Amino acid sequence: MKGKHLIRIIFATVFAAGACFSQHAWQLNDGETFESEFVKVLGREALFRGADGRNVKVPLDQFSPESRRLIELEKPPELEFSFVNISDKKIFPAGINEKTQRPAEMRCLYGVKIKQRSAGKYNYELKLELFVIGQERLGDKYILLDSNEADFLLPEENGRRFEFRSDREVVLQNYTDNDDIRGEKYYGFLAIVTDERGEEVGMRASHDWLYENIGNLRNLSINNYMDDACLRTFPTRPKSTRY
Amino acid sequence: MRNSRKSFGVVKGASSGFMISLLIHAAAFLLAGMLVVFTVQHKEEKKFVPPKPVERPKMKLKKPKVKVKKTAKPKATTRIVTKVMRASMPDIQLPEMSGMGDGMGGGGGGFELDMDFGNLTALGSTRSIGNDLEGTYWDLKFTRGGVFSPMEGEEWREIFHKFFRTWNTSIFSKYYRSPQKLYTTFLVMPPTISALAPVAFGMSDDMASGGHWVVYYKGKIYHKEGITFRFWLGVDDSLAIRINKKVVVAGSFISPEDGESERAPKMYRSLWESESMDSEKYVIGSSLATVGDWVTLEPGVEYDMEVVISENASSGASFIVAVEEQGVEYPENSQGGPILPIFRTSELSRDQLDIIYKNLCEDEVCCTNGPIFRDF
Repeated sequence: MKGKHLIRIIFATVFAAGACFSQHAWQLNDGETFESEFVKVLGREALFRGADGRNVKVPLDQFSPESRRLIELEKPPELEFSFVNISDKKIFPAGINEKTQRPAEMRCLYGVKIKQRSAGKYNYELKLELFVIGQERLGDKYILLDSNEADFLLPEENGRRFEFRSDREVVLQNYTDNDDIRGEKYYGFLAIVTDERGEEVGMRASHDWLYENIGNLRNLSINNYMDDACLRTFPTRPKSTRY
Repeated sequence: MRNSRKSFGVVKGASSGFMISLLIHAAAFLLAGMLVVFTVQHKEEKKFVPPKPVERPKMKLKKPKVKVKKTAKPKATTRIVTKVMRASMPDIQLPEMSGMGDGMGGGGGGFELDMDFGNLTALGSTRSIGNDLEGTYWDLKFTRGGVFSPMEGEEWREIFHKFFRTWNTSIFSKYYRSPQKLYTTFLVMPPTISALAPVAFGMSDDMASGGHWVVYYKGKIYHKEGITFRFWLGVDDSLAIRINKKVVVAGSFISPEDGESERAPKMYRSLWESESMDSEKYVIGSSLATVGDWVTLEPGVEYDMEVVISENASSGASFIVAVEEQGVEYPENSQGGPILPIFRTSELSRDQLDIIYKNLCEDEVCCTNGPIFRDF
């Protein structure tokens, strides 16, 4: 054991002796810093890769609290997503006659369930962004039906789970006017989880193009119409059949 | 006798030197080894090679761009000696951001309007921006206390004829009035379900059905430079406008296929008639349009404007109020009629345009250009 430890130290010494020192990004308890590519955590040590491609292990307890926190952030949990769609068909009273009866609507609440499926603890705050997309019935434009953000943790006592449900009821209409089908329908969703640094930890999308255009999607507001690049556009205009 | 021993290659004295040399070298190696071992062992911390930092690939975010396609270039506005001005009415689908030029009352640039309208609908929003018309909703299917009590026969028509003579809203006081007011800068509800109005005014689910409702708007209008204009209405079921207590237009649904019929007589027949030859010739919305009387507003002077909109008992409803400015030539639509700007007291925001466009056919009216009825 002692021999192995000695060899490791000599390796490190030779490694260090042969290299030149420069600015450090990781900080040790004694104040010393270094820059290196973090590879992964192995038990109680952190693995780094040097410029020459060699790997170096450093005990976690040798790092400053801030660097240790960053190392732990570099080991995000693996997440599992389940989209939640609670829809209820609302039928209205007849009123004066069946012509004036309000057409039935779908009343919807959306959300997502997130579960950590990797082992180990992750005690840092995560942020969820959830986008729900609809589509107009008259044409082919899309609509941002709902958009939410939520901060959450994955504590052990909750089984490392988090469930989010929007408090905004989305109304989807479906009726006919002058032989045109009007209203909107559900199309898909995008859920992204990032850590406190803004780095993506996990993602689930019903359609890849939503994720590919997340930058544009983030610029939209609820009820905005958009095209397939998530750029804001006008809704499809009906054609006149009266002349 | 002397003893002599033969020695093989061993020089007396040389062996000790060799040994000394060996010892010295051994000591040197040992010292060197001790220096490495003991030096490292004393230092618990390791020194690490600082390799080059590795760049992590980051997702490249596309800079969002709003694409504006030019489907039609706006024509420059010109003044003609005969005092006929040509209006620039670009393609409605992607309207130009710029205004129409001098003498056309400003407009354009409405997309930058960044106001919190609250809950936004085609009949208005829950927040006033100041220069808007305030709307009140009565549902004539319910008593004042909210009990369902639908009208029968021609009672509906009689109520409105009575109202038309005095414009006194106390006529509706025995019916249910929504506590929710709405505020609007335009009068455009393209063809849609009749129940949209009670829903917009916050009626509950068990009360919000179509038919037999009335919306009354009132507010102040101005025009900075002064203007002579008239209203064009495309309505289902009926709409009337009064300015400074004078009725300037009263229209009702006129079928594009059948015209006025016994089955659907005009609401205000015998009470007000248009004097324009263009009335009931072109479709706006779901009805042949009614053309109003010419109205002149003096520069910067305040005028009271009242609008009453009613819906009978059909599945659909709509009202579109446009303006024709005297002396202006407008581009023609596919019907051969003018593409007129809608009445408005402010530029429309992008959100307001979305709400209008999703049910408004192209080629009927223009929502982004034309006069704005305000004093600034």
